Amino acid sequence: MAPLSASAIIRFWLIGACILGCIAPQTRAGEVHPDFSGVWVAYGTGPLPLLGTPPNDSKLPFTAEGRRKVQAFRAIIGSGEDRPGNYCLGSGMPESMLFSGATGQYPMEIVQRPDLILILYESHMEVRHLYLGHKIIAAADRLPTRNGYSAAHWDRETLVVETTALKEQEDEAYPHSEQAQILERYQLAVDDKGAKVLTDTWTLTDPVFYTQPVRGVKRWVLDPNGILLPYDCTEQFWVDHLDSLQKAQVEKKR
Amino acid sequence: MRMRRVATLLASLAMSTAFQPMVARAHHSAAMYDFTRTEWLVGTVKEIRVMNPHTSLVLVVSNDRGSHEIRFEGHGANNFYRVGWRANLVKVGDRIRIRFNPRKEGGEGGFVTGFVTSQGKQIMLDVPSRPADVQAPSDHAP
Repeated sequence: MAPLSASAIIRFWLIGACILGCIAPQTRAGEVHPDFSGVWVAYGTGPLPLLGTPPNDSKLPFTAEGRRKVQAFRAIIGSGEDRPGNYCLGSGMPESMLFSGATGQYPMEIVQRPDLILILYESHMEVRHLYLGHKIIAAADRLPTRNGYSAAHWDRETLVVETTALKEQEDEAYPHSEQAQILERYQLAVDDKGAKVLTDTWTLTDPVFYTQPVRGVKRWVLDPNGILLPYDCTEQFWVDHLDSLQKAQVEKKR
Repeated sequence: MRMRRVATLLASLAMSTAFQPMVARAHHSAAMYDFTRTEWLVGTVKEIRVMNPHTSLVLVVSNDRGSHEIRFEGHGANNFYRVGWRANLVKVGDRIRIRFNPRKEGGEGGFVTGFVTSQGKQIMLDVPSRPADVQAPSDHAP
């Protein structure tokens, strides 16, 4: 039998690595982690997710500064229904996570790789990148965004996600400053009907806005046949713009 | 219970993303619709765009004002898709029956929550009752 060439060895190695990656994408140092891949909708009949800026009498444990900022923001929007979504802007964390899949609408999809887990929220097509291992960049290099930067690691079968680099937001259900940190612990279980249930136990810590951590639990159930649909929120603007151009041309010809 | 929750959520979504072109081009809001009332209407489709965040529909209807056009908006493509809507299910020229929430200030038009196609297929979202209240958080630590 002829010895394998160096290129053949590399090819075999690459193919083997790919197969391992496909079969057990969460394998690291011999550990196989739960597979969260799939489309998920909210589980059970808990309270509806909060949307938008809390009322002035909110029971959230605001600091004086946090309450002042929220009240100042509410004074701007008044009693109206102004929310980021009104302007085709996604919620940002934690509202984007909490809103996903509510009552079977606007599910979330998880795409899982060893060094990156993508969470896609259908509503406003918000995307979170959960980086693992060598993919995690230094805190100083993280660009502040509404969904923040998420660094993740496995604690046995629990996915631990720490989200920082959040923009200050008074326009969501759980307002926060740019110093906010959101810790999430994702765990997979099976309910008594055999359905896969994903639980996110989350904690929002923000010394500027809150006197104590804000905690919550969000659960989803796997929808085996579920799909995520596109959500091009600004299509209407484009279509209306084309309509106005067309009308202008018709009037010009008259 | 679930039906009511869906209804409340959809109404809430409508409030957050409904399109209001006459007020501001870059603003979606359905604050002008009364989600506590539901009405039905039959008409012929002159224009229909099932899209996100909201569908737009122009129906030609005949009533005591004679034959005329009425403009509606309604829930988005994703919501209708999940209750059975598919491309070309409703076409220009079709005679359809719609269910909608009327305008608070009166007048014609409204926010479409369901329709019955010319072939009798029903595309019905659960009837929104009212927008979700902003709730006191119940899940944060005391």
